Amino acid sequence: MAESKLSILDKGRRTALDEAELVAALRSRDERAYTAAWIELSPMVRRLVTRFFGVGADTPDLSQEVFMRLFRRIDELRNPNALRGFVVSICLGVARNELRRARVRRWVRLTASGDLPDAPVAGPDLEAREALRRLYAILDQVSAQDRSLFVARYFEKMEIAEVAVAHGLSYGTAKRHVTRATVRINRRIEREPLLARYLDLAASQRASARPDHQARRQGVDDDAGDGEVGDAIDVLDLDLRSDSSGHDSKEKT
Amino acid sequence: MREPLMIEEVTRAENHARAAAELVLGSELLPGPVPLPDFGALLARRSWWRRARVLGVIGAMGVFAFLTVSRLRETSPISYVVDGTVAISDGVIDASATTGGALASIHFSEGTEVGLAPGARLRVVGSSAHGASLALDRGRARFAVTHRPGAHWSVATGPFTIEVIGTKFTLDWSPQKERLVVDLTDGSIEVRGASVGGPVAMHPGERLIATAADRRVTLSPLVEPSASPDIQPTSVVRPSVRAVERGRYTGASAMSGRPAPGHSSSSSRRSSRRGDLAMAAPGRDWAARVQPASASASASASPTTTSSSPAPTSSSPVVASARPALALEAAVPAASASVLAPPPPPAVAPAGDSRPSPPARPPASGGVTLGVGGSACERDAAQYRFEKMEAGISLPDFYTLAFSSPRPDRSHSWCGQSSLRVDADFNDAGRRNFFGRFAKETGQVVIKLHRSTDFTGKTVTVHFFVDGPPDARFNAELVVVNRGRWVSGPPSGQLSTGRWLTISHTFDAENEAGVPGSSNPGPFPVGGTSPVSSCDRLGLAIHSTGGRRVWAGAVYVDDVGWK
Repeated sequence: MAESKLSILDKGRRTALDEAELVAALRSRDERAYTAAWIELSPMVRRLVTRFFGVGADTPDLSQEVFMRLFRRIDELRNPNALRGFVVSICLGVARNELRRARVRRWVRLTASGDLPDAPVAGPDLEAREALRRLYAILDQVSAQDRSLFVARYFEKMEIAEVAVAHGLSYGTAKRHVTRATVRINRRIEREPLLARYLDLAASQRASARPDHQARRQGVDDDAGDGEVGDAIDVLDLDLRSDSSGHDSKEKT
Repeated sequence: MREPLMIEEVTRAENHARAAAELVLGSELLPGPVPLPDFGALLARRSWWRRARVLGVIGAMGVFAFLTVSRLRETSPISYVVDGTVAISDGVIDASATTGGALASIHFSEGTEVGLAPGARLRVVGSSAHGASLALDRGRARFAVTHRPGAHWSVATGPFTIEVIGTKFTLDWSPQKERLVVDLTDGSIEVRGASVGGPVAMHPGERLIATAADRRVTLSPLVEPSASPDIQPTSVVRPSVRAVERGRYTGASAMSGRPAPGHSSSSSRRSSRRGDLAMAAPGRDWAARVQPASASASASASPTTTSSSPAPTSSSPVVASARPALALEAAVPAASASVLAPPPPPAVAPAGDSRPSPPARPPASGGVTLGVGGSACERDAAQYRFEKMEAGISLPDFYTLAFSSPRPDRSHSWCGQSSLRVDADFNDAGRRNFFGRFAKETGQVVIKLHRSTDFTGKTVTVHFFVDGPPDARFNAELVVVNRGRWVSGPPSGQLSTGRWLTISHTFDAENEAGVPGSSNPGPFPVGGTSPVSSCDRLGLAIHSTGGRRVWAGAVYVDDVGWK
């Protein structure tokens, strides 16, 4: 069945393969399946990589690395219908590894200043570009795990359950880690007045632009998605030392 | 420090996070086209690299394992397996139960083999990664020690210790006789022990016989490498080594290690009663030339040795062989390596032939030999070191006139920086004196002791160097004067020039005096015995004995001591 659709692909016709069929083709090590997977999944991968590192990241190479790992580890995927989640988890893993390697390179002063080179950012206006630059500068300071959780939860808008799967965590653990990562990053944002003011303004505009019923709906969704956040927060403790260092001591690779 | 999260903080953080996400998503650009990678080639290449990496890791682990095992093997003590009918208990390997001629074998893990003859008992005292310490309590054992860098093997037998690097040799230790026989067939070893003095280096083809009881050490060529003296026919008299020179063997036919006919075993035992040989090895290639006990200074002891004793002037071999043995050490100075070659055989001069040989000049070698004694200097402190001109030095003015002009010299020394030098001029001119010597046939240095000294039981040692033509031959004699009676050790055998020699003698309470052939007249011709309890003089006599009858040179005397 997959063979027939891949044959159609050979003829230049674009057809949608469901995940299970693509997984089966990939497991058969058919090079045409590689092409199909690239066509189907590379936009998502490139977008995720870009969101993780910001505009200017070396997305082609990282995307290629993600697919190489996908092809090598495709046999580890137990549920053929969870291919996208599998790819996201691989992508986040590759991104975390790349982030750690970049920090090692920075540690050994492979750049002249010792800092990561500024990535060019695009945006609607100068203020937004500056806010975006400072946001990624903060993300560069937190741990790879915190950044990965933050990006997955807010940039990719993944549910807590998806974040948990993508990071190999239990639901509760993922929820706690996401909350902690969010608070840690926000504390750094608070230390950047320009960025904090920009985000406050954006948040207030967003709230004012949203109809009340949508706002209420959003709150219900949030509660439904996250569970009783307030209740959970009450019992959470935050290790301020890990916050000050910017690294989570319980970080998982 | 931990603090609970506040709801307000979390809510604010989430609001900021959502705003940040909007900022990011709002700034997002549409992804441009990206060329399709050639995943087939990339996967193949990465697969090759993975294989290479795996092989590299395996190789590295192999190297690590090899190094670890090598290190363990280097640091773990060697082990051994015993083959044969032996009793083993706590490292003691007793071959008493071994019957017949079969050897019990001990195979060490690094390749060393030890064979035990029936009746032998060996103890493995300790072992390390580099060797083992063994002790041969009794009997005969054959050792084939594998040569390895850093190997250290030692075998203790009674008071002796044999240091081994890598060699094949046979040990025979008799606790009853306190006698050690070492036959070295390959490699080199060093024998140490109380009666040996400093380390005696042995070279292939040599046999060392050391007797602890009378502190006698003999070094001879190994005629029968596999035979022990114990299994030699009883009719064969054990050779008695009298003098050892550094140089080379003068040839099998000239070796005096053969038993001397007419040399009875009783006289041999007697002759070895008080002899002492202290051999210092300054690290030069050397070998031994052996003189039979009966070949005294004047070559009078054995008629059969006249071919190697060019000056047969005496007549009583029995008396000569009955004298206590005296031994010599010879150290070749570095500057006179040319004399290491075997000296030409001395021409045999017929008895009474006093035709003078052409005058010979001292060799140009001369050179400087300072501190030849090496470590022996630290061990043996001499009473007279001649670092300055000592008082009481004299040369006889009658009977022994070959020496003249005693003076300090800084070109030769056994220890320290200087020695006593006398000019030597040997010839047979003039008439023979009343004891048959030409006046300049013998030279003698006499030291008047600072105080009267009792030499009973003491070993007197004198180091000297004779500079002269290489074919000159002479013997040496140590003498003390007790209340006017000259008491000397037996004259040494044939000695040659160009090397440091050590003469020592241990005096008894009663010592034979006036021995015919001696260079010292008194109490000749009375003879008899004399104590040495009150001696006021000590001397060294050099008697020219070789075919060359006329030669000139110098004699350097250093480090005269007793203990």
